[in-house]
Amino acid sequence: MPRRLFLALILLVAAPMVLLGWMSANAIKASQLAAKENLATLLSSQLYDADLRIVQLFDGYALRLNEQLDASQSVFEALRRMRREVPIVRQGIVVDRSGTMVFPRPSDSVGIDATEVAAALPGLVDARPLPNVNSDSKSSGAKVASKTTFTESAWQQWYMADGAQVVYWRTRGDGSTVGVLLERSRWIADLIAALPDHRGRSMAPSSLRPTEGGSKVELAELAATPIGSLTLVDEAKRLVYRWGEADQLSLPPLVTSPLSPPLASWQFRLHVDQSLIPSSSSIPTYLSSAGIALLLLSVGFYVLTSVQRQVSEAKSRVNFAGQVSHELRTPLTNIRLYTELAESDLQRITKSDASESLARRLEVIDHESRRLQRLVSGVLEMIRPSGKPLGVRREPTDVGELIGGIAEQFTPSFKAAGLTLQTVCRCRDQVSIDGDVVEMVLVNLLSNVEKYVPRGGQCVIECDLLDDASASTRTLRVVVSDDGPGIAAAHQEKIFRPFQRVDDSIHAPSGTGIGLTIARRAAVRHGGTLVLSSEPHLGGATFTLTLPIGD
Amino acid sequence: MSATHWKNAPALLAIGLALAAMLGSGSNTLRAEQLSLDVGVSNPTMLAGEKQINHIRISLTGFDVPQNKKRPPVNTAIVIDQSGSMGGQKIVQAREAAIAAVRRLRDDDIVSIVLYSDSATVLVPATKATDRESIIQKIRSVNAGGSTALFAGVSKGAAEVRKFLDSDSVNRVILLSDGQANVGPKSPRELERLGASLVKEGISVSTLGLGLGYNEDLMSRLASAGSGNHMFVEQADDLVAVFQKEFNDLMSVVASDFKIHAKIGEGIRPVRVLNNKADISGQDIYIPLAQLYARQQRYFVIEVEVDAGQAGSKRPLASVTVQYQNMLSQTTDTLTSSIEVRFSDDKEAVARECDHETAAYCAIQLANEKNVQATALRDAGRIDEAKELLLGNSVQLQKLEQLYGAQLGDELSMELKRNAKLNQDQSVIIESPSAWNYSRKAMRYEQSKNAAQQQMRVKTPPPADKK
Repeated sequence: MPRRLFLALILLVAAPMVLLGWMSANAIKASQLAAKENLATLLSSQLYDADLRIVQLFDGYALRLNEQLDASQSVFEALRRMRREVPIVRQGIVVDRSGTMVFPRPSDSVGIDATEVAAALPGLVDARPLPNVNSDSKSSGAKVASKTTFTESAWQQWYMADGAQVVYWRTRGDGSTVGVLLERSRWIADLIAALPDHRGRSMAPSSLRPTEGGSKVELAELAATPIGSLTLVDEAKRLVYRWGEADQLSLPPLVTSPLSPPLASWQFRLHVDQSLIPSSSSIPTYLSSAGIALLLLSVGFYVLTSVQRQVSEAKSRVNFAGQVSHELRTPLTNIRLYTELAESDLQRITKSDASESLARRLEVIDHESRRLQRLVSGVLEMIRPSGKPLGVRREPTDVGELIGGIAEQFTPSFKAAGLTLQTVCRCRDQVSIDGDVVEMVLVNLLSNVEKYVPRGGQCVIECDLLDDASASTRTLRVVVSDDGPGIAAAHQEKIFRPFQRVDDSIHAPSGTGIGLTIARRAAVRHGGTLVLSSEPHLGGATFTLTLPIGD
Repeated sequence: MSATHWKNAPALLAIGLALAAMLGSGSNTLRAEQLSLDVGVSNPTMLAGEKQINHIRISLTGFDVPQNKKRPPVNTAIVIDQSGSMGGQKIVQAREAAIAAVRRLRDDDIVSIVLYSDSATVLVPATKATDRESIIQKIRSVNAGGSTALFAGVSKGAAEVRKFLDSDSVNRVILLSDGQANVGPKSPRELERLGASLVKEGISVSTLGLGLGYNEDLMSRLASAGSGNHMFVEQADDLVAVFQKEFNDLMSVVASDFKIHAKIGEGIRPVRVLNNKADISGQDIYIPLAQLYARQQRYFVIEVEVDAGQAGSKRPLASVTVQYQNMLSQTTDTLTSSIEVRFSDDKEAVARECDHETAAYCAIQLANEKNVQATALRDAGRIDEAKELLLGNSVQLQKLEQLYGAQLGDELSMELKRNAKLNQDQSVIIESPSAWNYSRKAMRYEQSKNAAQQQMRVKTPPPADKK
């Protein structure tokens, strides 16, 4: 019992703790995530600044390339010169209106690098972002427009030997398209130069030589000390450049943001020291849940100890009652013995009025002492450890005589209560049975009848032997039925539980509420059953006792 | 210039001053020092009737800086590796070398110091060298630790130089590294392309490889494409001396921003420029060159394929235009020269008229190319083939020296001998697997030196061309 209670207590404490823990962990996670997101948005302004510089860098390239392309009448000549003199240019490309690549020609590029570029050009040209689809529709306008007029420009990203390459495309008024393959190493170097250095210093995007004044001031503002470690990774996620605080690269990035086109396959990553992400909120949560656990545990402990105390108190009370009952037995037996002796003595003396009244009084003493004995046996039955078929003494018994004797005991009190008691016994044989059990059951049933059946009611005890062919056993069945108020179906089981009464009000007949419990326990101890029949014979309550008969 | 006149008799003072004024105004155009351009061909007379290979040599020789002339200002970024491997004596010597270099600078020179390890740090942004002490103070604080973001270092260094980029100053990034680049772009190719790109805007890159851990391919190719010097510094103790040498070169630059254009004649196909990444487009060859030092002899060998010609006919071979910024007169000067070939049936005449000097120079470059091939063969484990190539080089150069040494002049003769011996020594040293790391670096160093004529200086510059 205490162990079970203890387990229950643990469960009682553990279940809410687990729930609380789960909820608080969730809350912490959510708050950390929110904090992380806040931090990320706060810090990604750095990435935005960095990205802005890269956009400016590529805008600068476009501006410079446009100037260069416009500077010369012959676009071929311009592209040849640009390859030699403009640091960012690796190779120029010209695609005519029909989509044929007309520059570079094989003789325009000699050498291993040039061969490699030449091999990649057809694919690159096919995938160019400014196909000459709409050039036909424009052709009429284009004839009017000047030959060197450029209309549209776009960036292209293409993969070649070293990795991502950037190509600048521009359509010309005559429907042809000019592309400039940028020098990868150069724009990486310019990117790095435009980004802050390790200590957060930075400078203007260099090779575009920004106009003095405005842009320099603007960029100086961007050069704030970086928080965390920022990295630039290429399309294969290889580290290209990093700046800011060191030693945070092993951590997963807090923010990852792609660069603006044309370098959309590259990424900025922001790594932040774990200490920057607010996480202190978890400590109070843990503390409070620990406090709640302590509280629950102490309450549980208090409940457990008080229950234990009560249980032990009840146990000692029961023990006391048992011992008292045992103690009562001996004097009771003596009282009955001497009452019987006194009765037999009285028969020997001559009858007189005095002896008559003496006999009647002795009869009352005998009756009451028997009742007392029954009560004591009942108490002992109650405190007997349940479930153990102990103390059953089977002996050949004449059931009719036994039941008749019990009925006779109740005759005076039934008569006084205005009730009639009738016994119908259909077995004449001697059966092996513990008469005390039958008596204990019947006495309790009959005293209930006596208490609850109103004046003028009747009670019938039927008794027969049942043969169970299959099990080759015989069963004694005793049915006690009355025409009293009966018991509602809802209480059918409840009435057998100890200290349970259908009506516990002050107007109800006195009783301890353990009579039926004692009766059923006795029956069960004998291997039998005691049930309340759902179909009463006489309209009141009908109890059926069945007991297996030994050999 | 007028200082010399002050020492003359006071009576002549007035005349002297007048003369000085006159000379001062007119002499820049009349008497300014000029580079000399010499264009030669190995075989001026070619056998008629068959397609043949010929070699053209374009040679530029720097003039000497007169004592009374101010050298052009220097704009340099010193890019120092401060990765973990630089710890100990290396970083100490690197600091000393940088400090010694800064001390040599003039007030109008511009210097910046860039450090790189995990990332790049601009220690000293590009600034005039007037406040040397605070620069030196900053250099003293440099410590080693971290990885090697070499590309970022060069990028930042170039950006610092670019801040004060001027055609009248010597713009150079000096890169010191002792380890493998491991952050950012790291292939020799990528660095080479960056170097080539920087040369286009007049920034040269010199590389100093320290110890035995650096990537000699990356460093030599970067310097070669970057039109600068490549040095192999085995011992950290030599670093100060090497830095001094580099700064000697830097401070002796007499011409920059070259535009070397060779127009190859019809019926002749340009094949390549030996040991150089020139831009060849049709018949036009453009050779990148950032700077030329005083008295430096810098030459390029163009290999051409000449179509069969008729005996007795002549064919224009190449016309060469060299435009450059004269650092002393601060003017843009142009030199031109052209050359032609004759065709003859007479085999003896062809052999007799061979230009042995040009042929010898070409032989050195051809041998250098084979030397590069030998390194590749040795890398592939084909030691015997590599050895054969090197010994072949040695024998050929030796033969040339023995046959024509007397008529070639001391400098060229010595150069032939030196190269012959070098190839022979290398053929022995490449056999040792344990020494290969060292000898490979040494080989790359010699190859760069030969290809860029890093150390070729003439005793007396030839009189300036008046073309």
